[in-house]
Amino acid sequence: MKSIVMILFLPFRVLAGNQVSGILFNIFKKYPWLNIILSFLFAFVTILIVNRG
Amino acid sequence: MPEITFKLIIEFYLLFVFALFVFRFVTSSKRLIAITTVFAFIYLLSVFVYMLELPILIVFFDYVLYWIPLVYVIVIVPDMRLAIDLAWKKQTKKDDFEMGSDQTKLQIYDAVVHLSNQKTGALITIEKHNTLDQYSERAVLLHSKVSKEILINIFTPLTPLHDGAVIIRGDEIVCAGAYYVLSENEKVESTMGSRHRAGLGISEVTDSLTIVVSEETGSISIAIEGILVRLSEKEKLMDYLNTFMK
Repeated sequence: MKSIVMILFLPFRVLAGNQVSGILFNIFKKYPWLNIILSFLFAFVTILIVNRG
Repeated sequence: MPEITFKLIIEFYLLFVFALFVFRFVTSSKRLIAITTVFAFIYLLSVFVYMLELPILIVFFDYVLYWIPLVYVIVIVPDMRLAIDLAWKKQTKKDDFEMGSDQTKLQIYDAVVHLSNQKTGALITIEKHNTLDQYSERAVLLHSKVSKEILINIFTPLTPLHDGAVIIRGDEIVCAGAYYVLSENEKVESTMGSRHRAGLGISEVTDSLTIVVSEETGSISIAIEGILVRLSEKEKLMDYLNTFMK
């Protein structure tokens, strides 16, 4: 039972775990300009989608 | 491709600044990244559900997606508060600040050692660059000279002011009975009570030094820059005061 529950919740456990967040945290700490690129992309894509609609 | 107008540039600029603010906030701690990835995963799932046109799950996700932004904000409220406090810490940094004289250090030291020997709980915060006015405004203002006798009197059990913190600025006791937001640091020993958590809490959001005397053991701890150090010898307190109050 325990292992079935564990498998069912696996994606959430992985995402909420230390590894994924740790890797992402280190990436953003090492390359802070990624925030700027992502924000730029977000603004660009949002404007494209809204204008297309 | 939309036509580039002045309005579009303004919209792009504001969207960019908003997104940058959110991204910088979300990527500032592992906890926030973990929470955000889980919520993003739920959104990703919903995209698949809508693409595959699964009727029952669409009804389910209609409700989930409606409430999820609110749930997300509720979950990250402690992090938002901490981020605002840290921004406030940077904003309220004074260039000119006064530190207490040698006489003040001696009075604080004598009072803390006495309270520790008597096993009387105490919480004394010494202000540095960041103003503690927001806490003193809600406490009982004293504006008296620092003296061993006053400090001992304030923390005497069953008196009205003994439960809160004393704030010291320069050679003056600004107030007594001040209350701080407790630290949520999970690494703090479970045996440490709310007084220690309060001391640690104020050290996380300001550059002050806080002396905590435990009423159970009489031990003296120092909270500074989000770290709580229990002093093995009472004499070390003077070294800390000398280093901090330079």
